[in-house]
Amino acid sequence: MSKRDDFEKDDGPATPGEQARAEAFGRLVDGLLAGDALPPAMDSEDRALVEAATVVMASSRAIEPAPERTRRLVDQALEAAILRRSGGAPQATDSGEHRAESPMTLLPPEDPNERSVTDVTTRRRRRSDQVARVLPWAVASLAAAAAIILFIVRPPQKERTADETAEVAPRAEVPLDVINTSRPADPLVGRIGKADRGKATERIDLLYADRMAGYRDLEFRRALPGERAP
Amino acid sequence: MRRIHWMILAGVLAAAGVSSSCATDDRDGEEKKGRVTEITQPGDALSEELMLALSMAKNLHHKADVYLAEMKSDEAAKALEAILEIRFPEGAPEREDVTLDARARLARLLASQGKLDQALTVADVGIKAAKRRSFFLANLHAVRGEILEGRAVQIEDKQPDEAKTLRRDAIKSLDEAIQIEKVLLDQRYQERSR
Repeated sequence: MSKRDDFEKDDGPATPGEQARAEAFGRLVDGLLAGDALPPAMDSEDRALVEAATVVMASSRAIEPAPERTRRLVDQALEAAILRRSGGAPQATDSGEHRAESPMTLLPPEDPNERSVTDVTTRRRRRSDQVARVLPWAVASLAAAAAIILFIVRPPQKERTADETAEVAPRAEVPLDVINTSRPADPLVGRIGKADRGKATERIDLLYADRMAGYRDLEFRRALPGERAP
Repeated sequence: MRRIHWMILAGVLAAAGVSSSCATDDRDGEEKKGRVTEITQPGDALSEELMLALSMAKNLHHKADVYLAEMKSDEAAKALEAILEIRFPEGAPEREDVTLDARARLARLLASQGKLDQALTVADVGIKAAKRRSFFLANLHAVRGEILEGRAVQIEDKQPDEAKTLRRDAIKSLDEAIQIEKVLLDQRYQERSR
């Protein structure tokens, strides 16, 4: 048995349950008129009743949305109009058709005192977009310019003269003793007998130690002219 | 996406510019270093390059010792061959002495492996390249004589005539070694008598 049949059969005073249902229905209709969305799941009869109530309410009195919704709608309209003006939207024709429909007619475009918060935010966003578009080009251009400048201004390769070379020599010239010179290893090693033929490691150790002593003496005297290594 | 491409391009260009500039600086630094060496170490003074070359030869000889202790004669031979590739300063007398000694050791090692032909080649190349008489050259002549003697023993049964020839060559090599040693000993005595 449907709800409508119950309603037609029972003409007596409303029960508390019926009153509660009526109040809930009234809140639902008020919410819809204020701009709320329909509940996702509804009985088909309830949905039909809601639609009928909405039509009746709309035809009987002017609907005024909530103040917050009104403000949001106005801001959206202004933002859309400003973006359309800056982003190359179709210009108003001579007949003023677009101008008449556009919300821009609500605001004097050149009066900064009349601009809303939405207008300022949009301008900031537009400026940051412009910077983001230009920045890569600027960085690339600067880098290319720097590379070209570095390539052009690098010093040319030139042979230094003997005087210039002498200027960069940091160590002193010292007289060379025999021990500081590169020379044959014969006097150091002596005759290599048959029993010593396999002792090449000992010979190279001896040669290296001898030359290292001479090299250290040379480096010491270069570092401290006039001194002798112990 | 296009912004990223531009940023990458900018980075590459900047890196190219900076690296070209830095490369020039590095070259200059190298030039300075080389010239300092030329000026402060003229002629036959001991140089860092010579000390490094001698150090390499010393370490390679020791490396060969370690391989031989482990019975790895092939690796030891490679270490000794590496001594022949060491780059010494131009005109350094130590270079010839060190390479002749390395050749003598390498030739004996190859001979001990039975590679007599290879050992003979190593000795011959060293003798041919030598520019002065030295105890190291005499030693290499003596090693050559020993190798020839060993080869003669090797083929004595099958090729007795060839073995005789090899023995004569061995004697020649040993005579050459003796001759060099005699000359050097005479020089020593002369120097001491002065």
